[in-house]
Amino acid sequence: MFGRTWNHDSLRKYIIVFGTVFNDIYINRLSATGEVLQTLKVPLTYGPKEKVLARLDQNPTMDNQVAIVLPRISFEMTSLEYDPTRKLNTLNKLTKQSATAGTDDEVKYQYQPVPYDMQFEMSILVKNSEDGTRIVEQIVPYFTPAFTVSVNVVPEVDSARDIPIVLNSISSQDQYEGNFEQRRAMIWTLSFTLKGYLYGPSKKSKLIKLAETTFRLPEDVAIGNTTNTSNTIVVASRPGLTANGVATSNVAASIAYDEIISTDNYGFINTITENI
Amino acid sequence: MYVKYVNKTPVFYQMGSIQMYDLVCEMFEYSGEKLNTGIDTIDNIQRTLSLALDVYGIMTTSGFLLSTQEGAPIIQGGYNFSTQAGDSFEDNTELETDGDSILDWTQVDPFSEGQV
Repeated sequence: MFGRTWNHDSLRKYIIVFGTVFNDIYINRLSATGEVLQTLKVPLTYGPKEKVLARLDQNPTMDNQVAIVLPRISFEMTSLEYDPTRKLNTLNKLTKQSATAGTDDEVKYQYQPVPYDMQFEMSILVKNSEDGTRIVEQIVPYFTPAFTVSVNVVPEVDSARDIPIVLNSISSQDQYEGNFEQRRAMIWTLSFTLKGYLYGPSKKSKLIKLAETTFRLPEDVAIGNTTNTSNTIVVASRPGLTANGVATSNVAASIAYDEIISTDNYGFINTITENI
Repeated sequence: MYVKYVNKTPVFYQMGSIQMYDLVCEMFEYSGEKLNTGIDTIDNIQRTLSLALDVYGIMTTSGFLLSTQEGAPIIQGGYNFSTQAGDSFEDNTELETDGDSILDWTQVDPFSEGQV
């Protein structure tokens, strides 16, 4: 857009983050004495539950030995909403030195990301109601009502951000009524909000190695007359390094500032020139 | 496939006796049930589709699955859920692999600055 093409895969990463939180759920089946008879890992799928149910009802082949293997969790991102309460100044910059610091001396930067709330719906499909309750009771205590994870969405510029995942609501559905052609489906539906950020393009700029600030005394200087150096104070800051690689604040002993690289052990040279 | 309902009188004594039955059938939903019918075709369903860790977990002599104090099952090294689940309706492995490079689990205690 606007002549720039970039891909941080932010939305894909948020989907992965959400899925990763729930991808390691087990349920136990116990004996009458409370011993663990069987432990099942619950498969997780990205996609709406309707797709799973449609596969049940409209099985295209009759070759399968069973209709479906349960329990199963499916989730999907349902909507995106701008969140004005988390918005920071758009002109704030996130900067990070290039990974090859010292050789190219570039800084990557990016403007403040935009906060968006991502709505997720998660469905838990089970055959036995006890399987459903055992899955839900393992999820719910972690959400108070938010569970926060640290996410590296754009590692080249931003560091890890804490992203809360908020549990909004839980509902259960047991379709046991109806005629005999209708299949029974036991579904728990959990609604979540992931408070993420979406990032614009990242750009590169050279490291600033010389900063010069000119203060003008207004009485005798015509506005816009930049060639007149009278009645000015010039403050210059630059790195200082001797030819032997020792940090210095002496401008006469230092090599040229553009020969100093970011990984050198440099000092600082501040010079003040008064033209009064 | 299993029978859900048998209608014994879809046609009520048309020829003086019951000529036919209506069977309402449904494909079986498998949810880790232990199958021991002696018929290989049916018993194989458990071997190929079960999500239970019985085969991969470490069992006691009484047939119970050993677990850690936290309740997680103790599983043998060769276990691979992707192979076990074995169908395209499973994203656990992909999510876990991709999530490792995105999620940062290093900060376990953000309040004590590592002092506790």
